[in-house]
Amino acid sequence: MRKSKAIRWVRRGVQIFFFALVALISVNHTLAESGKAIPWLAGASLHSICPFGGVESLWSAITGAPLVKKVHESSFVLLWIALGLSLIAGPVVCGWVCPLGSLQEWVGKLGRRLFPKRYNRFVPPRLDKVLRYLRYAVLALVVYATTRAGTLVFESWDPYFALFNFWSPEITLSALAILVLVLALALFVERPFCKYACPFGAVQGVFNLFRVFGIRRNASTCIDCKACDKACPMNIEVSTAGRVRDHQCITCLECTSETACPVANTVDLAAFEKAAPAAAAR
Amino acid sequence: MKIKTIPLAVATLAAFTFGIAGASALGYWITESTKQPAKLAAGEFAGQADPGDIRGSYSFGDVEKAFGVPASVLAEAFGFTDRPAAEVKAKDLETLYAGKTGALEVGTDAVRLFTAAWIGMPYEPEPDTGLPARAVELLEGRSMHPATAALVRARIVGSAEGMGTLSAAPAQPAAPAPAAPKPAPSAAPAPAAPTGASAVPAASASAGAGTAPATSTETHTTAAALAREVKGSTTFGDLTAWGLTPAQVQEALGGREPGGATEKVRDFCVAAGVEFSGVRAKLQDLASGLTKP
Repeated sequence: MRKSKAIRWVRRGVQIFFFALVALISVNHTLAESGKAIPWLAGASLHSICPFGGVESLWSAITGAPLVKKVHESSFVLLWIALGLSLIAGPVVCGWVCPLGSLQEWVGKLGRRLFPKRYNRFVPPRLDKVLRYLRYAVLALVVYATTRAGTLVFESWDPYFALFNFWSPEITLSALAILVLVLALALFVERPFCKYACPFGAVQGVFNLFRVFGIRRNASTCIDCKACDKACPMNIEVSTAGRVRDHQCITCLECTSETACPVANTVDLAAFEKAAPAAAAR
Repeated sequence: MKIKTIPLAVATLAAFTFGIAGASALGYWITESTKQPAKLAAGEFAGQADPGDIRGSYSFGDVEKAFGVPASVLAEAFGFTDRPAAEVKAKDLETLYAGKTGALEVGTDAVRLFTAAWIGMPYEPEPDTGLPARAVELLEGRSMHPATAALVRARIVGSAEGMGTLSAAPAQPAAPAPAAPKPAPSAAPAPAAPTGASAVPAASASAGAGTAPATSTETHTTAAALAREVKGSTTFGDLTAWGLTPAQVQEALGGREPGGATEKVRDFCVAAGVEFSGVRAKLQDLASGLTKP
């Protein structure tokens, strides 16, 4: 038990690191406006370290047009890193790196205390299943609108931008309102923005269908306790899957035998080279 | 083959560290604008850097590198003496000239106009862009594109007496510009002029136009108000009269409470430390989307 707690802190530590790093870069960018920036952090802005900028500007890059305003080459570098990780192990960036995802998760811990039994089960399953596809619509809309306008039109609605710019005059009320709404919803539903609205999560989620390493359940040793289901922040029923191909998995490893699963070597992040003998893929 | 938590953490950190380091080594880790303006794709000046792409974040040093206009000339033209010329940013003009130029504005677009004039290219400035008298003096010896020359002489602000008014430059025929670097900035067509008013086309300065832009501040302002053009002289009252809601204005101001009806949006932005050109663009988008009366 003590070991699983320590293991959870490994991911939490990585999340805290990236949250602090992004916050530092964003604050530094504000300071740079008044000439007080920390020199070794250079003048990077929040936009320049957001991999989704690469998605938004992808069409411009393909057609040789100028990149969408405020997007720089660094966004593409981060996009390829994120997609490379996704190809190998799924949306690692969602579960380990994204500061907005981390913050929702941390707020969710309070929600778990407030609603120990109902937390993350408020949305009726049928509605939830449909809503999960909403983020693909958001992705299509954002990419289309951004490509047409040549500017980051999503910025005015982006809770991630609001989170790291709430002190800046650039921030819009709509983005702040969405951020507050997302954090309020996180008290009832784990990672609501990730589940229903995140366009970058949508891009990475697709990689769950063909990633090299995925969550694999060994049916022969599984005791059907459903601890993995309860631990999954994205409400995936790991206990009925041989291998998890759900487009919402964020590779947080909360369901694995290192953390929630009480039986060793039963739920793991493993290469999908061999089909699991039991249940069919989800 | 399995991956456990700690190796995944290490792999994640390593992917970012080595990915960014590799990109840096290849010169692909670019987090800031390279200050390289876009090049014109067509026309007589195809392949040349577009003065219309100068942004507020460009310093005079950046403009010098991209267009060859000496930073010292730019600093002299726009009256910056308090810091090294190369460090002055185009957007700094908004602060220096805030509230001093009446109906005209001296901001980033003035740098674009000056640069285009200096290098002999045509440029279609925003309807309310003006140039300080000293800038125009410096340009007099240059061989300007005829269309730009006409504009420059018609957009003088800043003389001790004349500050705040459009210069009554005589109409001067201008040769058609072969390639306008920038589309007409007025998103909304000007409505029919009311009887008795000498309506001035919002973008009379457009390349190829052969008339001076306006004859008086009042006429210019009226035409702009009718066309719902957000300008330096636009007040919060104007915005309300056009039909913008306080919530829309507040959003364009980055969540700040709008000022009083008679307060100019530009003055408000300067006092709040907000870049006016950005706010103006947002407000212009909103205003252009309104149904005309």
